[in-house]
Amino acid sequence: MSKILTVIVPPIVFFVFARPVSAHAFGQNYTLPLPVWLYLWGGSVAIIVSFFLIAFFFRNSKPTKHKSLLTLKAPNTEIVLFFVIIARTIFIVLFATVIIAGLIASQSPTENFAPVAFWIIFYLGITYLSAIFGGFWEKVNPLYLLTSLFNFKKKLNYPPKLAYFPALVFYLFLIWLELASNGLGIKPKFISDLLIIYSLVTLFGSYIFGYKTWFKYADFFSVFFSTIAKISPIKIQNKKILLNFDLSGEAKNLSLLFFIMFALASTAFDGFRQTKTWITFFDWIDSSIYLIFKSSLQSSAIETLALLFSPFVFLYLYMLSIVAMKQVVKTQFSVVSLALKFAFTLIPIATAYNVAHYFSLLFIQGQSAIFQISDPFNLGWNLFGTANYKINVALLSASSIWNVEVATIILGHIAAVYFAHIKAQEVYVQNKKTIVSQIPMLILMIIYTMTGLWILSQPLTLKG
Amino acid sequence: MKKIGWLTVPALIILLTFTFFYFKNQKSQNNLIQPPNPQAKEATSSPNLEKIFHIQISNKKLQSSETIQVKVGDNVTFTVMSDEAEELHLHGYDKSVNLEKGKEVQLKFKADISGRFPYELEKSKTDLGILEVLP
Repeated sequence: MSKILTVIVPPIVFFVFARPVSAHAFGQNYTLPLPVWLYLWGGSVAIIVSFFLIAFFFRNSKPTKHKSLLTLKAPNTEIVLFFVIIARTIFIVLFATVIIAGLIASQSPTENFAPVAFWIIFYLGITYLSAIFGGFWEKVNPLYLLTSLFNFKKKLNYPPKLAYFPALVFYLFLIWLELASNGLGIKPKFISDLLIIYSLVTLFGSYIFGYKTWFKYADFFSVFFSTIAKISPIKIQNKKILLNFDLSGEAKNLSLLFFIMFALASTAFDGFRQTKTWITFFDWIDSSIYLIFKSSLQSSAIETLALLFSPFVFLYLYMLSIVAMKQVVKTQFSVVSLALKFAFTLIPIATAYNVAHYFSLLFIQGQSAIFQISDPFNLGWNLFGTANYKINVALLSASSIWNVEVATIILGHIAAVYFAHIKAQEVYVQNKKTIVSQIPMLILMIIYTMTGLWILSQPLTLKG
Repeated sequence: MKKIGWLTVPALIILLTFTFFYFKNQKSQNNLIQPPNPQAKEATSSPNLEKIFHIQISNKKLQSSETIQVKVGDNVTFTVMSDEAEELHLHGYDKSVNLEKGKEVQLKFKADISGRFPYELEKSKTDLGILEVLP
């Protein structure tokens, strides 16, 4: 309970002083809602394909072997090292540039390099690259490099109960900044301050608990990118590059399950809060609060509460399907242990939600980085000759955005159903049980997928 | 038996692709639903698709409907009436027009990019409404 309070209280305190500021100058998404026919078509495909997959699983009664579709020999260590050093240098320079830009350059969120570099290029960019290429962030993370050079050894044991909670708390804070902070999160100086404080906390945490432990459990970006990286088909093993669709491992702690649920819910909520349904709901909450307490809350406070509540909706549905699964197969595993075992199968859906909602932001607003990088401190430089580049809004047409949205959500759905099946084969040895156990999970995934598509198809309001 | 099973894969793909394009073409040909729009009148669809919208702003608020829908390729004209000197800015298209108090000004452009573009009062950064350009 105290954990929950520590998460909820600080943002609320923040709001009492927060005044509404238009946050739209940055992060403007020019995406049109999905047409109804495409939403229905996408939903039908998800359902048809699911049944097809299940039928296919019935056919192959043997456990799926994790065979590599393509095996390549990794290039020489020297070549790899060469590229890693280049990538590290780029990240160190960019990291410093963002901090300096936020501190000294123009404080306009659209002119300054920091907001786009941090929120779009770094946060979205690395997320998508991790989903494709796997866990490379550790290799290029400047802070990881620094702490590993110092070789921080643990002074204290990391409290096992803390698990992934520090990363989860930072995640909540980051999403709150992104969605409900009234534009605080896009203020250049704030981003620099945040990155400096974050770096200090990271250095301090690594110093106390040892850098490996810290980055594994407590550092948000490492936990987030490595979680997303689990769905990458590209794996590196014994100097070989493998291509296989395998999602191994299981969540070891409930905090990681919450983390995944929040990844799912926060993206869904961001889409949901721009819909007319939300506005109606919001007004209802607003008037109810007024009726009960005779005073109204800041609008962003209601958004924050809804944001914090949203993962529990997804978690509730997930737990329902886990309970149903346990009922069906009568396994000796407890509900919680099953919930942990299947947690990773939701990562593809969470990633698909993220791509569907934000990829156009990366490709349209992300173009700002092209001209900003030539003049990162707004001093009139033209380092790469791109200072006069203008954003090409026509790069993605509305229909191509729709197609990518629906395609990612369906692919995420298929991946999730497939991973859940493989996981079920691991958990229940008998094949008959495996198939039957899949039905509650399948229903859950269809619900998640339809929710994702539904949100994308809703008429949007001016807000957001 | 196993072969028949595998044949369903291409059959399914063909079926889904077909329905996709069938619906897509059907929807793009007709019904562009206009929101109930009492003040922002749309000119009767002439062959060259000139679309005129009257936008009235008073007290930094829009007196007309928030969402304006057009189709890609339409020639759009905003005739804007404001109760103060301001600047109207259309995002994405990056078009601006200076507004004068009590005087009607025009903003003309060809809607050649599909998407959802907010327009705002530039000086006070006030959101007004959205232009939706449907593909």
